[in-house]
Amino acid sequence: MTTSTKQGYRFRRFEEFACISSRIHQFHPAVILLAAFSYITLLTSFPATAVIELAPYFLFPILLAQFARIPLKPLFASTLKVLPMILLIGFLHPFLDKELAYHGSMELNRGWFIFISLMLKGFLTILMNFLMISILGIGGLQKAMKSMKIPPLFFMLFTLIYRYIMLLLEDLYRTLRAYELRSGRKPRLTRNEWGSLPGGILIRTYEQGLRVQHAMELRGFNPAHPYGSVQKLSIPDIVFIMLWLSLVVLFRIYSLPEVLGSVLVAFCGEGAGLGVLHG
Amino acid sequence: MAESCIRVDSLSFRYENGGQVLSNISFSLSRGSAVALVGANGCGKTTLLWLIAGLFEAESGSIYIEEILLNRRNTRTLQKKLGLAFQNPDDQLFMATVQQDVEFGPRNFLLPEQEIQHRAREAMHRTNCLHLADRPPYRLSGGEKRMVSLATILASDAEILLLDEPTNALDPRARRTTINLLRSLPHTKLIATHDLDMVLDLCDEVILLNHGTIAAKGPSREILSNGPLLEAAGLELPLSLQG
Repeated sequence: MTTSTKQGYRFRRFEEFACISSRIHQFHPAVILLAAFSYITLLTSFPATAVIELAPYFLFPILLAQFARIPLKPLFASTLKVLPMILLIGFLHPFLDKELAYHGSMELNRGWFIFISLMLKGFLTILMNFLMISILGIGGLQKAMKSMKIPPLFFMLFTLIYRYIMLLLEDLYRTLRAYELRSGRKPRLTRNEWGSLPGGILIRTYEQGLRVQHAMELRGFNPAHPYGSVQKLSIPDIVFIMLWLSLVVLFRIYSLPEVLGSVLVAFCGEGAGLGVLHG
Repeated sequence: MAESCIRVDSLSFRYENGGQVLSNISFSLSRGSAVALVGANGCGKTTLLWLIAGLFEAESGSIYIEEILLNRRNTRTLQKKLGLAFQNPDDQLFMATVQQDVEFGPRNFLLPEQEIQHRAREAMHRTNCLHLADRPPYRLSGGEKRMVSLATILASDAEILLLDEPTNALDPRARRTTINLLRSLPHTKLIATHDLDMVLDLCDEVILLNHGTIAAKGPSREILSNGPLLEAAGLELPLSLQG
């Protein structure tokens, strides 16, 4: 299988993950959306130079994925693919911000801390978004938006844009695969090919997008009423979101590594003190 | 005269900034009949199916579905009676699993959960794709995709099937399975196809299109054994009738 084919399948896999049967998948879609939203909001609210403080935030997506029985490898792989865009945003910081900053005993340019923090925040934000789509799927996301009273027009735009992006990606990868096979695996497109290739992809996907829309409409699709009914909030939903919010806020207020460090130092210090006394 | 299921009167259509695709098309289908639309590539078969499905608006003429004139206001209501199987099943399969795709129609019609499950199971059973229920549609073979696309319209409980090249790109066994399935369905069927042997097997009547007009219509065997007529429309005799 060529690289481009693998890429094409990788995007589709997120929707496949949404069909897994797990306790997490059974939660109310709005609860998952709120969990992801609160996580991302609090994550991005950390100071620009926060690095160690972000460490506990890795636990949330990892544990959530484990409980949802979603493999982390494809999520990480897809997240890493998007990461270069964050790199582009942050790579100048180490060169521009040369003021010294400290993290415990570590001394570095402030710009480096900002850069690392930005990369970590970017990685975790994208990872959480992919995880949310993997749990909810497009249908769940729509239901979550509906139960949060988001206007129907937004559903329509969201659904159609999402479907179009999927078609675009599939056609893009199919075209690139055909290109790879007939170009002697040339590494990149020539200037002439840049005109016709994306043009052809856009026209083809536009037409296929219309056909898919027609197929949806013929089977009763109404963008104002998302697919299926939305379940009611249950006690487990409320318990889950309360627990999630408490932990996310707690880790935002108290730095877990710092607390653990202090406890460890206090414990070791006490132990050392006792040792001295006994000696 | 028996009540027609589909009636098309003096229908003409042209694409924006394009040439005339269909001119003065008239025919009718009685309930439970199977009629084939045949003709060379680009003669307007798919366009005609799309017009009947209410996806395009005619330039002139009218379409009646169960004696109700199809217009802008009732398109959505009448579309519930129609099931259109697209030429390319990929256009029709967009959900994460086969089960979800088959359930898509019944769910959108806001049926009770039990009814949705029943219809989906029944449609998948009928099309022999129950074992594919949890598979993602894009990983299926061409024949499997075709069966699932038929299951999606059967689950929507359409009374009239509009089938665009249902045996296109199928291997002989899958083609035979599809033909047998279509034959077993009591629905009214309008089938656009190049598979003239299937037409002989399955359809009572043929409408032969040539450059957007009806060149001939009548019993399948009569039309499809007329070599000069078929040749004039850019077709050949079906293999089973060739010497």
